[in-house]
Amino acid sequence: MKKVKNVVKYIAIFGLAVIWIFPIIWLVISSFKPGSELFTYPLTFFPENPTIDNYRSTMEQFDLLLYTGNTAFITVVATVITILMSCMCGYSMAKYHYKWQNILFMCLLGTTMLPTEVIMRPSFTVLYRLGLYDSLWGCIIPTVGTMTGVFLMRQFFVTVPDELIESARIDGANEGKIFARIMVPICKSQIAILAIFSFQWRWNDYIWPLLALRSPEKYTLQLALRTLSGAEAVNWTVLLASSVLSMLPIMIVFILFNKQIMNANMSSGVKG
Amino acid sequence: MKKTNLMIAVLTAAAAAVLWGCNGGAETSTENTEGGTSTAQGGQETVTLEMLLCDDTLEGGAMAAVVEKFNEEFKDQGIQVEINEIANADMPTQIMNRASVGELPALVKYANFNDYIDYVLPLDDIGLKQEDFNRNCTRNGKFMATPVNDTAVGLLINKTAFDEAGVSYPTTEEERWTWDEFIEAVQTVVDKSEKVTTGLVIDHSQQRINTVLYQFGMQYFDPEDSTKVIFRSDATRRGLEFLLSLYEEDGISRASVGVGTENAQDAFKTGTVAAHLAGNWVMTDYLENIKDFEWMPVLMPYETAKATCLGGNYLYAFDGTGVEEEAKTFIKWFYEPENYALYCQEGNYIPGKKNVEVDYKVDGIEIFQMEIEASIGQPQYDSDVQALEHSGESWENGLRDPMDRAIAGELDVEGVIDEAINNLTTNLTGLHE
Repeated sequence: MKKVKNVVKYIAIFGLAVIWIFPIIWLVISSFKPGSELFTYPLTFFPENPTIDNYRSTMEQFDLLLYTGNTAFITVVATVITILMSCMCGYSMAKYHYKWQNILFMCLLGTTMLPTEVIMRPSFTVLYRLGLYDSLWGCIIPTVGTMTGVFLMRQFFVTVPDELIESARIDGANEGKIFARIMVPICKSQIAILAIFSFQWRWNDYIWPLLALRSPEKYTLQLALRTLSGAEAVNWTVLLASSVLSMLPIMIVFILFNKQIMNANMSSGVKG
Repeated sequence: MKKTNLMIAVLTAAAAAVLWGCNGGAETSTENTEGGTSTAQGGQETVTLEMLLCDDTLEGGAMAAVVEKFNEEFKDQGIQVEINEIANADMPTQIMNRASVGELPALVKYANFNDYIDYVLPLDDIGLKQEDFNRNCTRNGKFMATPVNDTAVGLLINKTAFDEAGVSYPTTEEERWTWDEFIEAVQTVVDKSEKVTTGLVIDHSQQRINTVLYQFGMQYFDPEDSTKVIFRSDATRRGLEFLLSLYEEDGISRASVGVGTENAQDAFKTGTVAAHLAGNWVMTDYLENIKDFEWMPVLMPYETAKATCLGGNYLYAFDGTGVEEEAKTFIKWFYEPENYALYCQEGNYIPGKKNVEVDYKVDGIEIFQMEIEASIGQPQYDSDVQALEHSGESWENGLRDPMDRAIAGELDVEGVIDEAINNLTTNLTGLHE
């Protein structure tokens, strides 16, 4: 009976995995089809005349290395700053007690109710006045202060016993040391969760690069890929190939940090 | 020691990151103006003009080819042009954003200049005149932009399917179908073909709907009084009834294409559709991506009138960029016959300027030119009324949206007319029925 249950379970899991991965596989396979095969009827799954011309055209049309470099810079720097800010802010909100602090926290939490579109114009004005227009920092600064991250960290630090901090103080550790040496190491799972989310948000970010950048040499991958969809036509062949190429960096990150990411996902399920 | 090294490494990485972030990995120029950059080379100042455009690569890179020619010819004269290609959908955001911070580009190629008219540089003094162009670009008595290429709505057919079914198609005025004859022809193709299952697909576009309605005699504005909307007419009713009949169960089209959930262009490429009401802009895509059947443009059917709707892009310059004279130099050079013909040839564009001889690389463009020549004046009149008297206002898809609802069975013809007129009079000021 147990065996039957396991078989059913694995079939269900396998079925779900196939449903999830099928569009990705189709995308990858289609990227090797010439344009004339993409819309043939009846549709074929495998290319009849496989070609790498789509990838060649992509490399000719786009400076992919530059765009990937710009996107990677924004993603990595924004993620590091987001983690740093969220950790510090979340820790202070959880462990230091000042007058009006809870009200301040509620006000900050209230900002999550505001859609990005509402604060876009004032944020852009601030960004421009700071001289960050047409600079990659202009895509980073407005995005790093995320209340979602602060909330995630605060909720974790609230569960950490105050006695741990008090005993560290008795042992002579200053506030910086307590944060850096004790608190940060114990919230690795939360950091990993936030890092994954932040990486995905920034890698796929479209709105801020669109608003903050105007020079082609500073464009991100998402801005460049969007040029393939025109008013009346879409360059499907190049779009498919460039989409596959744009997925590669995230795939590499996943392969390298597979263990940490899976652990983080499990931890987020337990503690989040 | 280890800590010091780590600190130095972190600080170095941070400094490098700051520099990369500020420069974007690119060289900085000596002096930035709003619409371009100035650099000194060997004692001569070179002005680089930024040209903002979209869809150039998608349409064959015609502007890139012409800009390359310009840069070669002007490399010793201190003017260069640099193309900044962005997505079509991002153009309004990019232009308005840049206008708000005073960083507009020197040149723009885009389908709209009316919304930015306050920033556009008049071009009265460069030897180009309104009379030279097909579309009206004069605003408040000033010639503001140049119609860089025209697009015309037209019909493309699956030639292989028509030939196999033994059905002829019109390429001369004498052979032009009426709509009834067209329906009969495509029905024969569908009946005789094993592969073709749909007679006609029409782009999900207000311009295409308008084209058919004009062929039935529809008018938006009274030719005697441009503030009077005369959309509510028997001709409009007949046109709408005809269009809706295409999407009924026994009609020759598919409702999924009519409401835009299925792309007409992609449907035609499958080879299962007999005809596509689109325009000359699809030819580049079809040339590249249709290999398993032959296609060709033919003359559109008519009911009471022959009509097509013109669209296309404009080339214009922005005022206050500090490089206005250089921008005018480029536009003047661009419209020299040899350069402009090269542009039209590379992109298979219909010239926006009159009397331009183009040696096209593909057959069929002349069909669209025939459509323009045969078209009644009402589409252009209605378009001019909206552009000249309602500049900066837009009723967007005020007809297409109720048409979608009608195809879905939510509205009848009278409902479509009511909603369209309401959208028109609400969004464009000073109109009455």
